[in-house]
Order: sequence, then structure tokens, then C-alpha cells
Amino acid sequence: MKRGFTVVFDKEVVDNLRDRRTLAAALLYPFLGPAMILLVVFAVGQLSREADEPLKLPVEGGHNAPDLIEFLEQNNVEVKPAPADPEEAVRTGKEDVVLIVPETYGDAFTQGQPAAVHLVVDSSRNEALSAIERARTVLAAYSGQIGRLRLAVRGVDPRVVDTVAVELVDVSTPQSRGARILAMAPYLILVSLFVGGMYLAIDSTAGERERLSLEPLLINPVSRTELVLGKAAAVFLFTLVALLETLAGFAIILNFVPLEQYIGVRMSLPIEALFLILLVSLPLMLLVVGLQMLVASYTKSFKEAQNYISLMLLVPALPALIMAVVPFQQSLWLSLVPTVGQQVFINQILRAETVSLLHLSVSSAITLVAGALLLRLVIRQYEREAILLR
Amino acid sequence: MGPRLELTPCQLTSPGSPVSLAAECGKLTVPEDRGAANGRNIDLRVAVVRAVSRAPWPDPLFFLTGGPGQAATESFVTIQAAFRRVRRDRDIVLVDQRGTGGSNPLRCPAGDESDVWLLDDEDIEPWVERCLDSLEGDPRFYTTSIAMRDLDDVRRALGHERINLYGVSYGTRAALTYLRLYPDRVRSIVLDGVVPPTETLGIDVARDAERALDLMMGRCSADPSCAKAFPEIGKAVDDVMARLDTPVPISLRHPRTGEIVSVELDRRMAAYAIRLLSYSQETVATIPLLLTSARENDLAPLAAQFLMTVGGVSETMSDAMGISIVCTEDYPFFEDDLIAERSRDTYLGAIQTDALKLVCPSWPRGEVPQGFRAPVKSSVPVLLLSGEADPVTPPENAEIVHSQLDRSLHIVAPGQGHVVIHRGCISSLASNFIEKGTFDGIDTSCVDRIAPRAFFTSFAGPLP
Repeated sequence: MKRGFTVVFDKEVVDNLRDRRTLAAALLYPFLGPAMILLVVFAVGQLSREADEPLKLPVEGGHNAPDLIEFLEQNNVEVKPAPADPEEAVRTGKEDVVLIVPETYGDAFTQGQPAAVHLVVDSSRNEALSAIERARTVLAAYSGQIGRLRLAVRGVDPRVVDTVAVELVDVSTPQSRGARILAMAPYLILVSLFVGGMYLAIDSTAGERERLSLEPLLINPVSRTELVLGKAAAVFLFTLVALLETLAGFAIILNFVPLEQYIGVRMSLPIEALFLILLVSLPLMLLVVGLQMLVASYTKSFKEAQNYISLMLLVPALPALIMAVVPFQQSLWLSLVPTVGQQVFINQILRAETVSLLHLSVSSAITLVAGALLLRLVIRQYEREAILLR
Repeated sequence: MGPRLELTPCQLTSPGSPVSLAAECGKLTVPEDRGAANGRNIDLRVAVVRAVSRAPWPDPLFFLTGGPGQAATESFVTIQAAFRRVRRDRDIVLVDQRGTGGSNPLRCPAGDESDVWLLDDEDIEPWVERCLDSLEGDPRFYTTSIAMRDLDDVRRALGHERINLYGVSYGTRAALTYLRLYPDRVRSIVLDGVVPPTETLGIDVARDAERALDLMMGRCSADPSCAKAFPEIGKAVDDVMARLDTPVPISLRHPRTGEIVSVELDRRMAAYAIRLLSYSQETVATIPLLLTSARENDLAPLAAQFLMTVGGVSETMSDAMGISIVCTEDYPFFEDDLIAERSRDTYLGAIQTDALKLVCPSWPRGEVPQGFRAPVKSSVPVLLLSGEADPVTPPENAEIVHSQLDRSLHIVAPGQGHVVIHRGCISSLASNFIEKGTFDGIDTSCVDRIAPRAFFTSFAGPLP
């Protein structure tokens, strides 16, 4: 038994190391996840750096409100002349935001009426949002300051308008704030696990059948169980390599790239956390291998198998998508669902929270059983002669 | 092996402010009397606001607040934005100076509607007696020098070899005292609103307040809109004060409760209100309007200002701690003829010094080490910050210290009042200085662009 298993395993590993597609999937893809996170961090950082720079604000009719303009200039705003047609300029994206001070401003202001100014914006342009927000904030600051002083000179304590002082007691830790940016990470880790062995799973089953090399293989004096387990072990190895690469990528990014320079939040991924994530993922890997081999054993050609198995990439995405919209609490029944449970656990580990051992062991057990059942089904499939005929 | 200081996560808040700040807090136990072996111990409240960086510099910034009597862990919360950049690379350490905040505070509230400085002369002695009876602690040990030895204990307990200091107002005296005691422990210092060690706190209060008011009036006269709205601003203070020599009974709605209250407005109360309004450029903008309307017979807005300011100050101050400091370190140097000279022809007069003369003789006085009031000699780089129209620590204070130090740079923020770290580009200049530990390559020209807010010319505000 041992020999047959080893022969098959060696053959699959060596064969597929020669195959570029398998190699690329196993070796290159896993780095995509960490790379994506890095990109997001840099993009976020860019935005916050822009906030330190003066806001360039085109103003039309500034002469109607010299005091307002003076206030803007004292508060990190660079006032510049407005374009001829402000609305057109904003619509075409030439300007992010334009301030218009109408003739009526001064009269309303001196009468103590709300003095209207117009802020021309295109709220559908994402890249303008930060400039719009900054313009609104500084205008609100001016309004608030004048308003409070108006109250004070009339003999009313400005604090009376702050009826409820909401003091935020923020219990987030630097790690958990960082984990918000890492929200995608559990999904990316699971995807790398789905992709790592994907080509090998297809190639060693549907691929062999298509190349008509499966039949000679089955004639060999190797039991079907050994055959399947050998192939599964090879797929498992590739999956494991992919996972390790992804984890290594995250470890490098979180521990060595100075992310705090960009997002103002300190993060780290200690070695224990890495091991814990690996531990959480192991049962799932078995399930994924079983699932991929089962699908591939039912399909006629490489292409067909590829189509179905690619669709399976959506499986880990579903809980992530749902979690993004409806954030749900960790609960026992959820951790029973393979892939959902693992994502919840990985998320907790990244946030440096304590993982419930009970939930983890129940989830792992269920996933393991499901994986074993799937492999059993694959073996059953191979035991039928029909495997050659499909 | 120093004393233990364990830190646990905490949330810092400040009375009356909705902002809060996550930090790590702990208590360091120190002897109240450092000369006695088995005396009473007090706990110091310590908070560390962690740097954002993964690899912070080993030398944190210690924040020394003002008063004397404010709590560092409270007042930092309201000014934290100015330290955002410093915090990127350095921890910020907040120690409530003994007698303040969470460090065995010495407080004797004089009441919601009053303040020690406003008590009538005959009420002061009973107040002192009551206060001293109620204090848990011996005021003699609440001096700047002893507090700075506490601070060094905290430094040691946190394991820092060298530190940077930011001191504001009275905190600048504390910072310079620390520098004198532990010259090798300091990497850089920023002093905002400077109190020179050679000067006596309180003796110049009237003169400095008068100077700020003069600057305000000069600026108003030079500004066409202000000059037009208040052509006789130059006479306003004198006229109002003269009128209030005989207290005027006023009935008005209380600024906070809205209830109708009666106040006998006198010149002390008016002076108190005007002085506090001079602290920041925003409220300075309303002084000509308030003075002019008071002069034109409507005293209610000025009385309301008094009511608004009087409760607010004592909320954040440990008054008895402040008195312990001033009575020990400054009162012995009060010279009557000097006070008379410095307060002559000022709107404030000798109000505050007179009150201290009634309080201090019966207040337990601590010891001041030799050389406490000598100029501090040091080659540690010191950045000095002043507001041009500061009513308590005018730029000339910083000039005195500037001339005594080997390496210092003095920045004056045009038209600004007390505390300027958060004005214009000053916080980024200061962060830059703390980052480099030197003045080289620091371009201060951006300071010229700082300007004060326009004056309120009517109850609607400034000209639009």
C-alpha cells in the first residue's frame, strides 16, 4: 500500500512541477492577496497625506465674504480664482469642488440670518469626495465659530447648544483597527487555498482522462484507494505551499513594511498567529482537495473541469460578502459551516482576539469529516470502470 | 531597580470636552515627603499615549501642563491634534503633577459662582482655614522641584534614557527646572508661553494683561472697520472701570441656566472677565464690542462674560496646588513697591497679588532649593514659542530665557494669545524640531502668515 501511494504521489508532484500552469497557480497566485492589501493601504495613505496638504479651493465672489476667505486661508485652504463656468468645470472633473459666494451673502450675514454660500460638487466622483468633505468641514468650522461668538456676546454661554456631549469610549486596539483594513485577508487566504492545488486536481483526473493516460495508470498494480490518496496528497502539497506563501506574504507586509506611515495604525502578525491560521486552515484544505478532485472526476475534459472548479472560488467569497454587509457575531452554528467558520476564526486571529477552542474544534471536526467523505466519494468513483468512459 | 509602573489600557477625557483619547495608564507610588523614610505615600497618575510607529524612538515626549493646577492627562486631550506628528514616532508621556488630576489633587472649590481671587478680603482667611483643614496632603511638598523628581522617577520606571519635553505656561517653569536637575536626561525642549525662572509668577500679571489689551486696541484703531465701529475704543476700558468703581446692580439671564440673576458688577469682576477673554484670538475679537456696549450703558453682556468664565476655570484647576506653588516659589519675592509699580495704571490693578498677600502668610510654605531662580545654563536645544498678544506670558519672557541659553530659537505668532502650538504651521515646525533635535534647516517664514481673527463690529459678527 505504502509503495503504491508514494509512487503516485511522486509522479504527480514531479509531473506537475514541469507544468507551467500548475506552477504559476501554486507559486505566483498566493502573492496576489498580500499585494492587494498593500495596494489598498497605499491608496488609503495617499488620501490621508493629501489631508495634510493645503486644500486648493476655487472661489467665486470671494469679495462678498472677505472675512470668510481670511478664515479659510488661516485654516490650511489655498484660495484660488474660480473657473469661468464652475458647474461645467466640476462636471468635467477639472475641479473637485468650487465655492460660490453670492451677492446676497453680506446682507444676510449682517442681519444675523443664515448666509448662503454654494458649494458646487459632483458627489458621484469618488476622487472628489475628500476635497468636498474638507471644504464642508472648514466652512462648518467658520459657521460654528461665528455662531458661538454671536451667542457669547449676547450673554449666552455657547456651551448650552451642546446638549449632549457624546464622549466616545473607543475600545478598539491598534490591532483591531488595523484588522478593518485586513477585512479582506481571510477571504484572500482561503482563495489561495482553493487556487493552489486547483490545476493539479484537474490535471491529475480530468486531464489524464483527456490525454488517455488514465487507463494505463489504472492497469498498474496499485489499489484505487492508493491511487486516489496519492493524487490527493500531491494536490494537498501544492495547496499547502500556496497557503504558506500567502501567509508568508502577509507576515512580511504586516511585520516589516511600515504600514503605520500610511494608515496611522500599527499592525503585526506574530508567529503564533501564523501557526494558528495554518492550523485552522488544515482541515479545510482536505475539504477543498476532496471537492476539487470529486468535481474533476465527474467531468470529461480539462476545460470542463476548469469551468466548474473556477466557479467554486465563489464558495469562500460568499460568507465574506455576507459578512461585509451583515456583520454577524461569532456563534457556534456559524462556525459549523466549513469555510465560514474558518474565515471567522482567521479574522479573529488577525484582530488578536481569543478564539473559542470549542468552536474551533467542532468546526475542524466537521470540516475534516466532510473532507474525508468527499475523498471517499472520489475513491468510489475511481472504483467504477465508468471513470474511464466519461 | 526602580519602582514598578504597570500600564493598562485606558481612555483619557477632559471635563467639558467631548473628545477622548486611548492611552495606557498606571500609578507610580512616591513618598509625599522625599526627605522622610517612612512617611505617607502618594500615587501619581501616569498615562502613555503610544506612538503610532512600530519602532518608536526611545526618547518619548513628556507633556508638562500649565496652571499651576491643571492635570496633564486632561489638558493633553484637548490639544492632542497639535501633537499628531510627534506621536507618529514617539510615545507621549503624561504625568499628573502631584496635587493635580489623579495625583492626590489639592482642591478647595470656592463655589460655582466664585473663585478664590474674587473672594472679598474678609472671606479669604476663613476660606484658607477651611481649605487647609480639608486637604489630604501637606502643601509644603507640592513644589515644582519635588514634582520634577517625581517626573524623573516616572522616566526611570518607564525605562527611558533620555526624554523630550513640551511645557506650556507654568509647565515651562517645570520643564526648565527638570533641565536644571537632570541636564543629561533631556534631548530637546519646546516651551510654549514661557515663564523664566528668574521672574516671579504673578508679579507682572497686571502689566502683561494691560499690554495685551493695548495691543488689541492698537490693532482695532489701525483696522478701518474696527476703528469705524468703535471710534473711542481707546477710552473704553478706562471709562468702564471708572464707572464700576461703584458696583452696579444688574439683573440678567444667567448664560447657562437662563434664569434671571442679580449681579453687583464691580471693576474686579469686569477686569477678571476681560483678562480671560484676552487669552485667545477668537474671544479677543469680541472685546471691543463688549467694552463699547458696556460703556454705552449696557453692562449685561460684560456681566454675562464674567458669569461664563468664573465657573469654567475652577473646573479644571486644582486651586490649592496652584496656591502651594505660588506661595512657596513666588510670594517670598513679592516686593510691594515693585507690585505697585507694575500694576499702576492698569485695568487689573493689584487684585491677584493682594489676594495672595492674604492667603500666603498662613499657607504652609515648602522649601526651594538653592539656585532655583538662577538662569538655566544648558546646551540642550530649546524652542521657545510666544503669542504676540499673550496676556500672561508675553514674548519678552521668552526673550529673557533665549538670552540665557546656548541653543535656542524664539518664534512669535503674530496677534495670538496664550499657547500657540496649535496655531498655523507652528505645530509642524515644533514636530520638525523634535524629530531632528536641532534647529538646522527649519524655515520659520510660514509663521508670518498667521493672523488673528477679525474683530466683531456688531452683534452679528465681523464684517462679512
